Amino acid sequence: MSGLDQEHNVEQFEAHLRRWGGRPPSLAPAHAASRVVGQLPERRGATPWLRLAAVTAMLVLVAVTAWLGRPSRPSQAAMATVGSDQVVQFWLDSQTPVYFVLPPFGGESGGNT
Amino acid sequence: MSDAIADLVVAAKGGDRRAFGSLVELHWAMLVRLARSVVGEADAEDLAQEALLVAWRKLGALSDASRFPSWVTRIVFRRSLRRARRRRSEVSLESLGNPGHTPDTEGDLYVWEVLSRLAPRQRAVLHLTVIEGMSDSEIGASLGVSASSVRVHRMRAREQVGKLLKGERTHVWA
Repeated sequence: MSGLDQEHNVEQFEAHLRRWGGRPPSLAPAHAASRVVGQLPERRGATPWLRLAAVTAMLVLVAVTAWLGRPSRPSQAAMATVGSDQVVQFWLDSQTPVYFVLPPFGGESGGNT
Repeated sequence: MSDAIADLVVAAKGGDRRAFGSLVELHWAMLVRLARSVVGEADAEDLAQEALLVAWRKLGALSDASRFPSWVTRIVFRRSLRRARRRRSEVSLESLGNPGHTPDTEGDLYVWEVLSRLAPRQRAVLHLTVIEGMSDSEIGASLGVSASSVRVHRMRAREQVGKLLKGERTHVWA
């Protein structure tokens, strides 16, 4: 069989295919639509993993906010150290001392600080 | 038309069932025709229906609403491909007696016999070329392959059809 015959056969096949494959479905589009719509499950607003991610992000946000907003604990550097009777020493950090000189007990009120 | 489809897709994404029904109505015939060429008459409509239910569930993942036609075609094609592979052993001659369709001519009968001997992807490419008249890039978008791959599948499909029609079956087309 020549290549031309073969090509002719393929063309004829495609003509039959066009007729066979182009037939309308037995179920009319309107009926198909109502049947499909009747079977549709409820649409959820978001997919489960998206919801899970949103909840996780919210929890992380709450945890971070709570951590940052916590009342600060006095650090070692800020603890008071009483040097002599009338001097109180605070450390703002490891290299920054602050001294408060207290008036003597029983002395005049409003002593030097 | 594509704007109208995009509007329907947006509405359907928001949960509008009626809009989705309109999309089904618009695409039903085309989807069933494709499924028929890949899996045969018997399963085509059930398969298209299943694929449309999948499309409803996955609609949220479709970012470009105007691509709905090729997107939903791809869903039908993938399910058809899976079905065809599962039924590969039964598909050839057994399916000639497709329920739901009585062949009008001997030619009808042999169309499916020849088609069923092609690889499912080749059937789909031939179908979308010959019946739907799509371009290579449209077919590629619908099947999830490149346009050059479409050309290769079509060339192989035609070669295979030519070989199958050699000799004794040529009288069928006369």
